[in-house]
Amino acid sequence: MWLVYFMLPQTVRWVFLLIASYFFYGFWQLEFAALMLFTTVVDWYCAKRLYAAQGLFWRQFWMWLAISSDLVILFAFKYFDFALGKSPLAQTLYHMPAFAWMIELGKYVIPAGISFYTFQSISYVVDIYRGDEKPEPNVFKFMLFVSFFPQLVAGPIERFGKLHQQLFAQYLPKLEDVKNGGRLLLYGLFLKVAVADNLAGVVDTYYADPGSFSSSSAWMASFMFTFQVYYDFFGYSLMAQGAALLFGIDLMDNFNKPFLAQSVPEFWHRWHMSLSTWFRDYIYIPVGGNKGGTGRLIFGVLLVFFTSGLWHGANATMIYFGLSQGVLYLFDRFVFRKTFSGNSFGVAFRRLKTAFLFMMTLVFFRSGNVGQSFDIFNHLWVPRTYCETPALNLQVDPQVWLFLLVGLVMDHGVVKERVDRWMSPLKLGYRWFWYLFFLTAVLLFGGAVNHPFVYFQF
Amino acid sequence: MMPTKNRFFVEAARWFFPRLLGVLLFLGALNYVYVNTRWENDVRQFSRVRNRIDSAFNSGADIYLGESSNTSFNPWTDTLNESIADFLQDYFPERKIEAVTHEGYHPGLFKQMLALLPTLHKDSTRTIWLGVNLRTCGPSAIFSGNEASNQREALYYSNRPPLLTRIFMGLHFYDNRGEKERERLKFQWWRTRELNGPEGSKAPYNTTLDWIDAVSHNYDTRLPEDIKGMMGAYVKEFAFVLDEENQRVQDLKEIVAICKSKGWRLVYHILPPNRYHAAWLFTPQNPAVRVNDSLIESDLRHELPPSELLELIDYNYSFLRRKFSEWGVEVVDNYHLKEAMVANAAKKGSYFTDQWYPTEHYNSVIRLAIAEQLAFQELEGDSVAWLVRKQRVRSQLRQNNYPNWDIVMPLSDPERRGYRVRRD
Repeated sequence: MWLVYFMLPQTVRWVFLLIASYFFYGFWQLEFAALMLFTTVVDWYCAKRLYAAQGLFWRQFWMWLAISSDLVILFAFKYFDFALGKSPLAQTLYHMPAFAWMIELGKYVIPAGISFYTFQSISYVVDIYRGDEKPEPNVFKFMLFVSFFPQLVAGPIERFGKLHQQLFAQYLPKLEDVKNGGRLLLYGLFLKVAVADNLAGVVDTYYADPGSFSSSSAWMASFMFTFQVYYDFFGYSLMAQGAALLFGIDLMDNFNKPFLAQSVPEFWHRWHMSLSTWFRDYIYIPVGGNKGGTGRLIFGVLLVFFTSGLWHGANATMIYFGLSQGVLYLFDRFVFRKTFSGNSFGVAFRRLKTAFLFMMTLVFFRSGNVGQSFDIFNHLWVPRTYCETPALNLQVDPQVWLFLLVGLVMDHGVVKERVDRWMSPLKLGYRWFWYLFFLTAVLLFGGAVNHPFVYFQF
Repeated sequence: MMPTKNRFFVEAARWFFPRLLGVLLFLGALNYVYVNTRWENDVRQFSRVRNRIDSAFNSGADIYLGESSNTSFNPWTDTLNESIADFLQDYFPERKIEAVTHEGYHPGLFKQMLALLPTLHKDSTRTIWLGVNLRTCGPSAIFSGNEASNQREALYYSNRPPLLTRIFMGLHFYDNRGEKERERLKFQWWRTRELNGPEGSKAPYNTTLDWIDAVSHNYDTRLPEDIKGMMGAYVKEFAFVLDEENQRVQDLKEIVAICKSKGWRLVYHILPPNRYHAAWLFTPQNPAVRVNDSLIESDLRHELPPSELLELIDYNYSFLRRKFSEWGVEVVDNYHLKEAMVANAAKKGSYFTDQWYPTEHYNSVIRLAIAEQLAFQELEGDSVAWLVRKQRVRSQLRQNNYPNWDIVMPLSDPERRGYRVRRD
């Protein structure tokens, strides 16, 4: 595909990319591609009308029409079952052929990446409304902006100005980009397959029957899940960046050493940055941001984290996850702001505290329901005093620890910026040592548990 | 001067191919290391029967392929734990019969296993006994949540280089659709597939989903929940109409083709479902309904559970039997095990191990009866030879802690279980 792309004349390459992106998405489930097409066309049309409209009313009308349409689709396929799944309305709709497939999809298989491309498309409409961007006159070019396959199903959520300009710019293929893209793909694959998938095996074992395991296993599972989520998503983000770089497109970084954050606010500046900045620009600042007084700020923060929780999944546990992070964010911002700051002990303590709190709230993220979350908290903090059978302990293969350690040391210590840029100047021998290490880890030790990317479901 | 784009391709090719060669050499070495270090361990961990396949297939033995019914052991009534294949071996001590069976196995997996089976010398013959139940052809089994792990295991039914199998597993290069996706496909089937299709298949509802809904909402509300649950389970497992397009039928067809191409004899037998329970549940003779005789007389009569499910089960059985005959495969009629099933009915279905879900898990009475039928076919209907062997096998059983077949499983007895709740 890559070869064909560069053999084509520059002027039609984007058409090839568009077809490839829709094929990639529609091959999995044709209905999903139709849904994305609908969202894209509606947003493109509304943005065009909004740009041409005279007067605030019509400009707002077209903007809200686009946003409402996006949110209705999002609600129908992602939240309907959660909100109304057991209602008589759902039962009635399920017996109507026109709606039955939709209810089945929403109940069992949320269209992959629907939250990502919806947010990306909304940002375009709002940017046009604000006058930050001009509308794209060609609907097919806009379709490519929404559907560009490396970042379609799990981000990063790109802004129109940056991605659109790169997609249609003159580009001569460079060997250095190919090498760097390959490095990102290989390292991302290592993080996903050798680290995250192996951790998933351990975590799944615990969560399949938490009551049978000891408290130490509960701690182990919580610890492992923290890094499973991180490496699963970070690995995917690197692969998305690598795949895009092969086509000469530089996607934004999504993570920046999050476990070095000294506070919850800093953590969210380093974790899933494309989503955090989206929430900042399109929710937090419009509701008042930092400039509306303390009350506004608290409201804005809690609204952002509530939305963020809901964005992560149609489940009460996700709302708990979001709100608990919101409360901790405010706590850090107002109460814990200067504690232990200024010396290395303080820095270490604050980092550990931030990572620990994140690990705790992830219990909500992983649990099947709120009841199970509190059971897990109970396992974590209250030692089992009586049980008919001895508590089990999780077994972790040594190579899982090794890969986790390599991952952590690499991206929180050795690698100062992105891994491809770190590798590029290394001597041939060192470079190939790492290539072959990653390759061996992926090929011989890839996790056997079939665990799709965690963020695909969002 | 070369255009910039072409220069890039030349430069890229010069850079790429030597490295590709290096990586391929590395992969060859890695395969060697893997085979000599982790392969055996991975086979044990991820493939339940690969070693069994190797030993059974390479020994030149006859093969019995089946699912859990082969070894289902009834802890209530069984003191014999021989499998169907064991009983069959007792009938033919002069031959070697190996079983490759496991819970949840189906023709899609057997097909891949058989492709591995080496062809014997031309003078030798090999018999493949294939035992399949009807439910395996229905959506509940086709879209079972265990299917991803079955498909992962099936990666090991291959002669490809071990490293490649490991890579396929690590990168999930198999039908790895998750439980939820399969659940959706199952519901889609239940919702969209017409039940009233070809002649002979008759159902009271258009789709399985309508039928399931009817069990939940329309059937006599005075029916106990546990009976309704059981009825629902039967509908979910058996309310489908077999046709040529059915995935399992396609798999069976391929199995026939593989056996023909390799010159093996294929003997097919269908494992009997618990017709006793189905009949009891889906007819007005149902005691739970009978106790409300006065209600039956009233306008609720039309809400009684319909008995067409039994007809549908029979239709599907006939369909499979007809297909195998068309394909020229021997079929053993284990569907109508008259003696054993009469005994089962007399014991109120307690010869079936699972009493609250429709499975084909039998105690040794039925397992032995199935083996006897297979043996009868194998002896080409020679009743005298068969009776002699039967006598010998049964006499051996007596020395082997003969089970107490007079026990009635408490759960199986509708008179003694929760059904009585309605009477109170």
